[in-house]
Amino acid sequence: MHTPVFYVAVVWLSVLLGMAILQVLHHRDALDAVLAVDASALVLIAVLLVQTVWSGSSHYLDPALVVALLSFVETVAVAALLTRGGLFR
Amino acid sequence: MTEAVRYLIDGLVLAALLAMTAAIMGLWRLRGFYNRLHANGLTLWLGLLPLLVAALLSGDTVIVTKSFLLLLCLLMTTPVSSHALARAAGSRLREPDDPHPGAADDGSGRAV
Repeated sequence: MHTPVFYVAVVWLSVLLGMAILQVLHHRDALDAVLAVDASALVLIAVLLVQTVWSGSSHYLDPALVVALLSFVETVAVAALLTRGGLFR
Repeated sequence: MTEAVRYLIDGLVLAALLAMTAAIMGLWRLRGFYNRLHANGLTLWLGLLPLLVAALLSGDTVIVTKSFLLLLCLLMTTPVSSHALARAAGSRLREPDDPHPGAADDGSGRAV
Protein backbone atom coordinates (compact mmCIF):
# COMPACT_ATOMS: atom_id res chain seq x y z
CA MET A 1 0.00 0.00 0.00
CA HIS A 2 1.29 3.45 -0.83
CA THR A 3 1.63 6.08 1.87
CA PRO A 4 -1.08 8.55 0.71
CA VAL A 5 -3.60 5.72 0.38
CA PHE A 6 -2.84 4.61 3.93
CA TYR A 7 -3.38 8.08 5.37
CA VAL A 8 -6.56 8.62 3.36
CA ALA A 9 -7.88 5.22 4.47
CA VAL A 10 -7.16 5.77 8.16
CA VAL A 11 -8.63 9.29 8.25
CA TRP A 12 -11.68 8.23 6.23
CA LEU A 13 -12.33 5.14 8.37
CA SER A 14 -12.00 7.27 11.52
CA VAL A 15 -14.69 9.61 10.18
CA LEU A 16 -16.88 6.59 9.39
CA LEU A 17 -16.29 5.20 12.88
CA GLY A 18 -17.35 8.53 14.36
CA MET A 19 -20.48 8.53 12.21
CA ALA A 20 -21.35 4.99 13.31
CA ILE A 21 -20.89 5.94 16.98
CA LEU A 22 -23.06 9.05 16.45
CA GLN A 23 -25.66 6.72 14.98
CA VAL A 24 -25.54 4.71 18.21
CA LEU A 25 -26.19 7.91 20.17
CA HIS A 26 -28.98 9.07 17.82
CA HIS A 27 -30.69 5.70 17.50
CA ARG A 28 -34.41 5.61 16.79
CA ASP A 29 -35.02 2.22 18.36
CA ALA A 30 -33.13 -0.27 20.52
CA LEU A 31 -32.59 -2.53 17.50
CA ASP A 32 -31.13 0.41 15.58
CA ALA A 33 -28.64 0.96 18.39
CA VAL A 34 -27.58 -2.68 18.25
CA LEU A 35 -27.23 -2.46 14.49
CA ALA A 36 -25.08 0.68 14.77
CA VAL A 37 -22.85 -0.96 17.41
CA ASP A 38 -22.43 -3.92 15.04
CA ALA A 39 -21.54 -1.57 12.17
CA SER A 40 -19.03 0.34 14.29
CA ALA A 41 -17.37 -2.95 15.27
CA LEU A 42 -17.03 -3.81 11.58
CA VAL A 43 -15.49 -0.39 10.85
CA LEU A 44 -13.06 -0.95 13.74
CA ILE A 45 -12.08 -4.30 12.19
CA ALA A 46 -11.51 -2.47 8.91
CA VAL A 47 -9.16 0.01 10.65
CA LEU A 48 -7.20 -2.88 12.13
CA LEU A 49 -7.01 -4.62 8.75
CA VAL A 50 -5.67 -1.46 7.09
CA GLN A 51 -3.04 -1.25 9.84
CA THR A 52 -2.15 -4.90 9.21
CA VAL A 53 -1.71 -4.36 5.47
CA TRP A 54 0.30 -1.18 6.07
CA SER A 55 2.65 -2.43 8.77
CA GLY A 56 2.99 -6.03 7.64
CA SER A 57 2.66 -7.08 11.27
CA SER A 58 0.17 -9.75 12.31
CA HIS A 59 -0.43 -8.35 15.80
CA TYR A 60 -3.36 -6.18 14.71
CA LEU A 61 -5.36 -9.24 13.64
CA ASP A 62 -5.81 -10.65 17.16
CA PRO A 63 -7.87 -7.68 18.44
CA ALA A 64 -9.79 -7.76 15.14
CA LEU A 65 -10.81 -11.36 15.83
CA VAL A 66 -11.75 -10.50 19.42
CA VAL A 67 -13.85 -7.52 18.31
CA ALA A 68 -15.63 -9.70 15.72
CA LEU A 69 -16.52 -12.36 18.28
CA LEU A 70 -17.59 -9.83 20.93
CA SER A 71 -19.84 -7.95 18.51
CA PHE A 72 -21.43 -11.26 17.45
CA VAL A 73 -22.16 -12.26 21.06
CA GLU A 74 -23.46 -8.78 21.89
CA THR A 75 -25.75 -8.66 18.85
CA VAL A 76 -27.24 -12.09 19.42
CA ALA A 77 -27.72 -11.46 23.16
CA VAL A 78 -29.53 -8.16 22.67
CA ALA A 79 -31.59 -9.58 19.79
CA ALA A 80 -32.63 -12.47 22.03
CA LEU A 81 -33.66 -9.97 24.70
CA LEU A 82 -35.69 -7.89 22.24
CA THR A 83 -37.42 -10.79 20.46
CA ARG A 84 -40.95 -11.28 21.68
CA GLY A 85 -41.57 -14.90 22.55
CA GLY A 86 -37.88 -15.74 22.67
CA LEU A 87 -35.30 -16.02 19.93
CA PHE A 88 -34.86 -19.80 20.02
CA ARG A 89 -38.46 -20.86 19.65
CA MET B 1 6.26 -7.20 -3.08
CA THR B 2 6.09 -6.00 -6.65
CA GLU B 3 4.74 -2.62 -7.65
CA ALA B 4 1.73 -4.17 -9.38
CA VAL B 5 0.65 -5.91 -6.18
CA ARG B 6 0.97 -2.63 -4.29
CA TYR B 7 -1.31 -0.88 -6.78
CA LEU B 8 -3.75 -3.81 -6.54
CA ILE B 9 -3.81 -3.42 -2.75
CA ASP B 10 -4.40 0.33 -3.18
CA GLY B 11 -7.38 -0.41 -5.39
CA LEU B 12 -8.80 -2.96 -2.95
CA VAL B 13 -8.48 -0.56 -0.01
CA LEU B 14 -10.13 2.29 -1.91
CA ALA B 15 -12.98 0.00 -3.04
CA ALA B 16 -13.48 -1.06 0.58
CA LEU B 17 -13.59 2.60 1.65
CA LEU B 18 -16.26 3.33 -0.97
CA ALA B 19 -18.41 0.39 0.12
CA MET B 20 -18.09 1.23 3.82
CA THR B 21 -19.06 4.84 3.13
CA ALA B 22 -22.15 3.62 1.29
CA ALA B 23 -23.01 1.30 4.18
CA ILE B 24 -22.65 3.93 6.91
CA MET B 25 -24.58 6.48 4.84
CA GLY B 26 -27.25 3.79 4.44
CA LEU B 27 -27.41 3.38 8.21
CA TRP B 28 -28.01 7.13 8.48
CA ARG B 29 -30.33 7.73 5.57
CA LEU B 30 -32.37 4.60 4.84
CA ARG B 31 -35.90 4.35 6.15
CA GLY B 32 -37.06 1.09 7.61
CA PHE B 33 -35.15 -1.28 9.81
CA TYR B 34 -34.77 -4.03 7.23
CA ASN B 35 -33.19 -1.61 4.77
CA ARG B 36 -30.65 -0.53 7.38
CA LEU B 37 -29.97 -4.18 8.19
CA HIS B 38 -29.19 -4.74 4.53
CA ALA B 39 -26.80 -1.76 4.57
CA ASN B 40 -25.02 -3.33 7.52
CA GLY B 41 -24.60 -6.59 5.59
CA LEU B 42 -23.03 -4.56 2.78
CA THR B 43 -20.34 -3.43 5.21
CA LEU B 44 -19.10 -6.98 5.55
CA TRP B 45 -19.26 -8.30 2.01
CA LEU B 46 -18.12 -5.26 0.05
CA GLY B 47 -16.15 -3.53 2.78
CA LEU B 48 -14.24 -6.13 4.75
CA LEU B 49 -13.74 -8.75 2.04
CA PRO B 50 -11.44 -6.53 -0.13
CA LEU B 51 -9.40 -5.66 2.97
CA LEU B 52 -9.07 -9.32 3.90
CA VAL B 53 -7.99 -10.13 0.33
CA ALA B 54 -5.43 -7.31 0.57
CA ALA B 55 -4.13 -8.86 3.79
CA LEU B 56 -3.97 -12.26 2.10
CA LEU B 57 -1.92 -10.72 -0.73
CA SER B 58 0.82 -9.75 1.71
CA GLY B 59 2.15 -13.29 1.60
CA ASP B 60 3.31 -13.47 5.22
CA THR B 61 2.30 -16.86 6.65
CA VAL B 62 1.04 -15.62 10.01
CA ILE B 63 -0.98 -12.79 8.45
CA VAL B 64 -2.50 -15.14 5.87
CA THR B 65 -3.46 -17.69 8.53
CA LYS B 66 -4.96 -15.15 10.91
CA SER B 67 -6.88 -13.25 8.24
CA PHE B 68 -8.24 -16.52 6.89
CA LEU B 69 -9.37 -17.31 10.44
CA LEU B 70 -10.98 -13.88 10.70
CA LEU B 71 -12.68 -14.39 7.34
CA LEU B 72 -14.04 -17.77 8.46
CA CYS B 73 -15.23 -16.29 11.77
CA LEU B 74 -17.01 -13.37 10.08
CA LEU B 75 -18.47 -15.68 7.44
CA MET B 76 -20.11 -17.80 10.14
CA THR B 77 -21.16 -15.15 12.67
CA THR B 78 -22.48 -12.25 10.60
CA PRO B 79 -25.39 -14.06 8.90
CA VAL B 80 -26.43 -15.44 12.29
CA SER B 81 -26.45 -12.03 13.94
CA SER B 82 -28.29 -10.46 10.98
CA HIS B 83 -30.86 -13.25 11.17
CA ALA B 84 -31.30 -12.72 14.91
CA LEU B 85 -31.82 -8.98 14.41
CA ALA B 86 -34.31 -9.57 11.60
CA ARG B 87 -36.24 -12.03 13.77
CA ALA B 88 -36.26 -9.53 16.63
CA ALA B 89 -37.65 -6.87 14.28
CA GLY B 90 -40.19 -9.29 12.83
CA SER B 91 -41.44 -10.36 16.25
CA ARG B 92 -42.24 -6.74 17.08
CA LEU B 93 -44.63 -6.10 14.21
CA ARG B 94 -48.11 -4.81 14.95
CA GLU B 95 -50.14 -6.23 12.07
CA PRO B 96 -49.73 -9.89 11.10
CA ASP B 97 -50.33 -9.07 7.42
CA ASP B 98 -48.15 -5.97 7.36
CA PRO B 99 -46.16 -6.24 4.11
CA HIS B 100 -43.21 -4.43 5.67
CA PRO B 101 -43.21 -5.49 9.31
CA GLY B 102 -41.19 -3.26 11.54
CA ALA B 103 -40.26 -1.06 8.62
CA ALA B 104 -41.42 2.55 8.69
CA ASP B 105 -45.05 1.77 9.36
CA ASP B 106 -45.70 5.10 11.01
CA GLY B 107 -43.77 6.96 8.37
CA SER B 108 -40.96 7.91 10.72
CA GLY B 109 -38.63 5.01 10.00
CA ARG B 110 -39.12 3.50 13.44
CA ALA B 111 -38.83 -0.25 13.77
CA VAL B 112 -42.12 -0.27 15.74
